[in-house]
Amino acid sequence: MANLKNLSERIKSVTSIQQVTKAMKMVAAAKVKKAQDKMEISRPYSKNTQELICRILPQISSTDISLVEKRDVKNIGIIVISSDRGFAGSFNSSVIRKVEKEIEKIGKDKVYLFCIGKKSSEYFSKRDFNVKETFFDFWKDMNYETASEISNSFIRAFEQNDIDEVHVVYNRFKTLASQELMMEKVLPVDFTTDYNAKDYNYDYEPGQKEIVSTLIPKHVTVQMWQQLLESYSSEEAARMIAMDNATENAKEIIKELKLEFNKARQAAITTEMLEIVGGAEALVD
Amino acid sequence: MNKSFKLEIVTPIKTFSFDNVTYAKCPGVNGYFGIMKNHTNSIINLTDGIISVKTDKDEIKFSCSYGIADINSDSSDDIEDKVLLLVENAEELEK
Repeated sequence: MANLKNLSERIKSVTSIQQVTKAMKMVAAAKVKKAQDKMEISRPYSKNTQELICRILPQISSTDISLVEKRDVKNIGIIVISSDRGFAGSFNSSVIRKVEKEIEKIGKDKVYLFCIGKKSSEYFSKRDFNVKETFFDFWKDMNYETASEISNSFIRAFEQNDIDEVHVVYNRFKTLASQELMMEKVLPVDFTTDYNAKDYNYDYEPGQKEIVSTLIPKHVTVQMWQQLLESYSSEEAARMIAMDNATENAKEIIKELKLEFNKARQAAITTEMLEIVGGAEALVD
Repeated sequence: MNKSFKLEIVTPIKTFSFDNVTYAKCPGVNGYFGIMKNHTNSIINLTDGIISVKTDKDEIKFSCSYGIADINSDSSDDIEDKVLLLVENAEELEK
């Protein structure tokens, strides 16, 4: 009988796990939608900023602007975008693995990390990597200021010549079921300068150089914002899929346990009946 | 003659667009400036301040943080004038 009780308790606990994973899946699905809407809204700003830069940049010599200037690469900054929470399948581990591979290629002491999200911050801090700055606990009410804060920190490091190139590693949202691991160069900024500056007779106030100098950090920031959103939607999508799988697995386990439970119950009944019959026969004799 | 132009205030988290704007006042780096139809083509840095937009019906005010104004006009009147205000933050003020 102890076995029966044991089984029914296990069925109960797996059922409650299933309820939790189901709820987490629903929450994640709602969050994906929200993040995607935000991404959609930020597009015009990013597009227009980029257009303006491409329009003005060919008219001035780009060496004047520090964020565009290419330097000999001694040290590299890598921005790692991970999440604060787990339960999202291989979302964080794939980012961390990719960054580790890159670090191996370049050399541990030449790489400075900007870790976004608790997972990567903890991982790299524990292993004595050069973690320059960490950002976490902002996803819940994330706003544009967070993106500015992050971009300001690496722009500062770049301008002080601490690092000569900045890359970002993050998960790009492809579909609900798949993310793409991306590595992109952030600084120095590359622009396609195939834009023909023929009929642009504009007044500039204060001057072209000043305008571009204020525009480029904005461009970097909005880029950062979009990458954060991409990563956030991927995280929630990954969590949604992971939780969906967990719910499926729980269902499977419950099915097996129930079968076992019924078998055990049947066995118990049979034994009991045998005992009664055996007892009755003994009396007849 | 039609004296209105198009104006868009674009921020990373919101876009406000207006079709029939007759006058707009913006905080430039060298002080406030006004935009009417047929303004010279200009690109102007904006600082923190108040943007006021006058349409043919009413006037709407926004607080904004620093950004940039891109004013495109065409003297031939074939293409409608378009003003783009790229700002980091814009919030409509209560009247």
